[in-house]
Amino acid sequence: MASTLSGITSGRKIDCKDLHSYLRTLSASILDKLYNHPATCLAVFRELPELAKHYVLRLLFIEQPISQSVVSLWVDNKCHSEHQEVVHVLTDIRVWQEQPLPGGMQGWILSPTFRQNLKIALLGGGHSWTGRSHLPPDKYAKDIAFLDKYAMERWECILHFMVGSTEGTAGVSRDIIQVLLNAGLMKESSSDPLPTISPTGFQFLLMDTALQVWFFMLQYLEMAESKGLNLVDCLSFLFQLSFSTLGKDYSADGMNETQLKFLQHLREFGLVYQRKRKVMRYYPTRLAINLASGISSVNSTPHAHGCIIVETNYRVYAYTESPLLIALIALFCEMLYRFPNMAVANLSRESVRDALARGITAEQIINFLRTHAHPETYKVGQVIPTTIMDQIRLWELERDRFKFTEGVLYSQFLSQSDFELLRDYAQDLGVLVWDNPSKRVMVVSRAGHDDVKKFWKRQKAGNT
Amino acid sequence: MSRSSEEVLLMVNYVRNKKTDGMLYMMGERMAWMQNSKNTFSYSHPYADIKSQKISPDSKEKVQLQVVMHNGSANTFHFNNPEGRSAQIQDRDAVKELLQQLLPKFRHKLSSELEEKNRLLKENPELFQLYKDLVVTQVITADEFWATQANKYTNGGEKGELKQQTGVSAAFLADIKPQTDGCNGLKYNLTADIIESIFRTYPMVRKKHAEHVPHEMTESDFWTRFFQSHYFHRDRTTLGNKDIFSECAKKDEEDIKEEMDKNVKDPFLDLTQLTDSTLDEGYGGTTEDKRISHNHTNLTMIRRFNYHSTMVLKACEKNMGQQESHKGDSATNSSEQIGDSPSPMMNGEASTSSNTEQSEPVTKKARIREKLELEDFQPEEKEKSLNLQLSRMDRYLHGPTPVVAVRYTTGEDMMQATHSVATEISHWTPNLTQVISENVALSVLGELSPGGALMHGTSLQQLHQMVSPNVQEELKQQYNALCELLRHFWACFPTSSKFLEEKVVRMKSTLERFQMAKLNSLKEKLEEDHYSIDLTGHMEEMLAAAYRKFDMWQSKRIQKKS
Amino acid sequence: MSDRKKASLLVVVIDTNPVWWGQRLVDQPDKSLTQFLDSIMVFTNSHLMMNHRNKLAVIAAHTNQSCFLYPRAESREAAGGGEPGGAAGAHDGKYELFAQVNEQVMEEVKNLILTSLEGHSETDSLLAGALAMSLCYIHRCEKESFTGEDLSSRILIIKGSEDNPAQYMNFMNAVFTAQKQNVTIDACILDNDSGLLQQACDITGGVYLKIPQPSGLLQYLLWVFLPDPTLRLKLTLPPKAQVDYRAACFCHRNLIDIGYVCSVCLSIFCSFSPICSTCQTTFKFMGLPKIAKKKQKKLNP
Repeated sequence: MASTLSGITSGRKIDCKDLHSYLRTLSASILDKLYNHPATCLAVFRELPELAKHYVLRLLFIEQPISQSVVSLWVDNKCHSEHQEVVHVLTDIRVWQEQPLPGGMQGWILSPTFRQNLKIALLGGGHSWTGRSHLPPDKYAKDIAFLDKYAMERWECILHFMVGSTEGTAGVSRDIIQVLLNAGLMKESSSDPLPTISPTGFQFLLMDTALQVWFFMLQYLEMAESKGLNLVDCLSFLFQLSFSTLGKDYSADGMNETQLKFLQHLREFGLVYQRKRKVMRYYPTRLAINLASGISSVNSTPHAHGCIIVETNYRVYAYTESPLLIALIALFCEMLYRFPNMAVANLSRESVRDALARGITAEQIINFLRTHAHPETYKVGQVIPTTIMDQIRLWELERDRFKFTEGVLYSQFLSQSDFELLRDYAQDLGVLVWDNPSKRVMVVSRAGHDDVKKFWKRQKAGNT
Repeated sequence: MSRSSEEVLLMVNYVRNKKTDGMLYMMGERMAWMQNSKNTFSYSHPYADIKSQKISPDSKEKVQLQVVMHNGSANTFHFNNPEGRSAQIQDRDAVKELLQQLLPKFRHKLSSELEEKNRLLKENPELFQLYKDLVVTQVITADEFWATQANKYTNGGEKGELKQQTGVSAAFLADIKPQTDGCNGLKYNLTADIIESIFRTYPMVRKKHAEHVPHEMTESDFWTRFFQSHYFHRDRTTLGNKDIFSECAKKDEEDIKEEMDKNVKDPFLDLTQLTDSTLDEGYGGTTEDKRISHNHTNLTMIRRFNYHSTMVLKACEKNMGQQESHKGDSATNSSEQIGDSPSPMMNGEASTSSNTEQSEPVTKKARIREKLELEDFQPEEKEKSLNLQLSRMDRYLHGPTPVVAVRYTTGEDMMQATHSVATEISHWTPNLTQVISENVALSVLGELSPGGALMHGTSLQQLHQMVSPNVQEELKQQYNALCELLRHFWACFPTSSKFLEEKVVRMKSTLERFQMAKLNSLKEKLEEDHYSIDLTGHMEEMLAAAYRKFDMWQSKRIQKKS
Repeated sequence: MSDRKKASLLVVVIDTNPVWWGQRLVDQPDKSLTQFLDSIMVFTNSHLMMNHRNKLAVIAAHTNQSCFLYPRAESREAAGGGEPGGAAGAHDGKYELFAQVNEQVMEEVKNLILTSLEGHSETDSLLAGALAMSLCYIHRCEKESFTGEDLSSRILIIKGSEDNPAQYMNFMNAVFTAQKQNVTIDACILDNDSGLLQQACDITGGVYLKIPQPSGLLQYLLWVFLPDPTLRLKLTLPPKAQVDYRAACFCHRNLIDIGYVCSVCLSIFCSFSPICSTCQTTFKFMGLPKIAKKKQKKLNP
């Protein structure tokens, strides 16, 4: 039984792409169009490997190709593999292109649109990102605290909906449900009018907020494209949002149809605040601005407002009132007590195994505990006790006792010598998976099957 | 006759070896035997190789002498002077006496020295390399090499931690466990170590051994007697005269007396008042120890024990004394010591004792003072501290910047400059798009790319990658050799003695020979291998510096003479 | 992954000595302070662009004072204007943060130069003060940063005017502080080589570079000074120059290889004098002359 479960979890591990893997899935023409906006260039630049950033900056003011051999000499001999990797990345997402030099050698040149727009982001000299240049002061101006509260409320709304609690889920629109279903985070069942959470959904819940937003936006964009929204417009607007200033208002004037529609969706997710649908003025929230950081770090940064303390005796203390967070902790812990401002839970083998059975991995649990760790624990140095981390991993390994290998069974050998001959041959090739001399059966891996078969045929032909 | 120039000390005819007659030659450094019919030596044994000699007991018919080598082989010579047995014995004794004199000399000198050198070379691959470089190629002679270079190794070895001589175990006699051989006798197994210990502790026995073995009795006879003698049975009260060891006993008695005279002479320590008391002072009265033994045997026994301990301790002292005065030769020295001529060690002791007598009052005073003066009661002495008075403190605060010709600026210039900057700034709006032109950017890129103007010297290859390991190894050897030679050379300065002056001249020619023989050939070899870097330059510089010094020294000397 | 977690704080110290810049303006009108400031602005923007956690401070070392150009002191912030970030720069497509930084630097530079017109001017700049200010700022940032965060800091000094030997002690103290705090000091020299900065860079492990073409300043900055010290190990950068650690004698201020040091007050002199001019200690020589006499005596009879 354990074997089937582990098979499912490994297959359904949530796949959250970072920006680069996402960009690689896009076609060249879309990439080139994307680079037409300074904000996207800036975002792409920030996500490049450290060395690649320096390559780009070194070439930024040079408008002719530079010989590839010269570029390869920029790094020390020892780091040659790193250089290769960087070259690969830059070529993959079309930041630079190969171009022959007059002498016949190959050179690198930055993609012209990318160069131009990165320059604009860095030096200015282009058009304003937002349509109209100036806005009169807003009489309903909102401060940062309000925006934060608003954004978190909206976002937790979605999460609440996912875990099935009734708290403020009224505002969840059909569109959001659609995205959640599409991403496989929830699934519809015939018995329940409302969709229920899927194993992937649990994994999603345990992710960092910034990462959740990024994953959600990726799923949304995938769907939006099929709905006929212009992907390039949406993406560049999203990046533009992530580079805007918190607490400042921006005008929605001059935005095209797609972008306006997109803006309404973002408003729903809590990425922007708009007082009324008709008001052409919006405030980006922290969710949108943190997008820029969320996409980079799968290993996300610690929360400044973490609240969880894990002790070596498997006790988990959460200093929080948020029902969502407590619900999340309850996913893999046994809840013991609730107090006005804290909850106490216990990590046990059963509770963790339940979570693992739901498709949550040990790594995700540990990561969740780490990202939500109380700031005090950082001072101690050991955020989560090592014994606890090891134990959670061991519990996961407990379930992975079976290893599956595809293979072909050879049986019904006529003589022991035939069997031994073939078995030794397979062993020499390194394709023998298992054998039992007393029953004269052996299993050869799928890859080795052809060779072994051929050998056997030759052998038989030779004998007769 | 290959080495006929060697001095022949003794020639004995009618010596048989392996049933052929011949002649035995005793020469300065070896003994040799020549068959009668031939004119070359059939056997030749350097004394250094001979471990010991044995002679046949008088009771035996044949008069023989056997020499045993270090490597275990032996050679027997049969003396058959036709004049009769007494002549044969005479011949044999002559040889024996001579060998007895010669062997210790060579044993301790030559063999040990050679072995030592061999050992050094083996233990020190670098030294061995140096030896090969300098001696084998005859840049300097072996003697010179050892005299100077090896000195530090040999000395270091002896003085250093390795060579501390082990003392004699106080229980060495008790450790010889006799085994019963079944028929009412005891068997003592004596090893060379034990014998050496006995010799070291009781020099008299050594002398006796030398006198009586092997011509009067065999080795085992001697030791049997030693153990049998009353000397070993320590509770004897009277001294018999018949024993060969009675003399030893007498001598011992004298020594004991002498030791007792030399008693501890510390004026602050009264040994006679010392009592053993288990109780601390003030806890009950001390009882007089009245267990004075009246058993004479016990007393003698105690005396013997004390004497034994003294001798054991002295054996160690002796070793140290010998090391300082003489290397090797311990056998002859210590055997003579008991006789008429005073040994170096005795000398040393005498002088130190006289020294102690002189210095006694001084040390006495010092010790009295030490007891009397208590630090706590000393008046505190305040040291008058001198205040450091510094003038011109600003000098310290000044940076290590040289006084350069500062561009002369007048106040007006400065004002003008300031104002022009101010006007420029006031009209300034950043124009970042034009911040750098492509041409300039490109030329800077050229400068900073490897091979560019600013990247000079960042060769991607390291020197150790460019030079093959073989060449590296050879360079290292040459450096080693040259440095050694140069060390010799510079060590001669200042040339305070005639010897050093000669040495300087010799070293200079040696250096020149080295340059000719070694350095130049290496240089040519490097050129053949097309090394662009000058690998030998530094060595040449070092040589040149030495030549310069030499020339200067020589010209000065000539001036002085004229 | 780990390098992304790391934030980097860069403090740029700019030498804004008006006398030096003014004289240069007279000599070479194309290489002016404004152009130079433009380059530095692009450089600071690039630094901020590298990573969203990167932090920046710009300090001007002026002739009679050192002051922050960015970030603005809080007291001045309140007085300076309500809206953070000027409205003007934000609309040519530049990233808002960059626009805001540039705006502020420009305002502060103008402010500094125009207000200091009246004061008396020197040919050198108060580098030691600026260095101390940057170290204090770095210290503050490191204390304020979140415990889990890793902040690596460095200082870049861009300098044209001459060294001021009178600041030597203060300067070296600041340098050794930087060394203790693990702060790298880089130096970009526009004109004359600076012995002090050479030492500072050598001690803290930074890069010292005298640039041959001042007009290409930006490219040099991007190339050599933008990579942080950990990345520099991987890149091929200009080799470290031999640093002159010689001391100057107290008497003539010459740099000397071998000199005489007073055993009492450690003053350095290039020639021997029987009385130390700093602490008035008299030196009597006993050793050498006597030996010479003895020898003569021996030779005579």
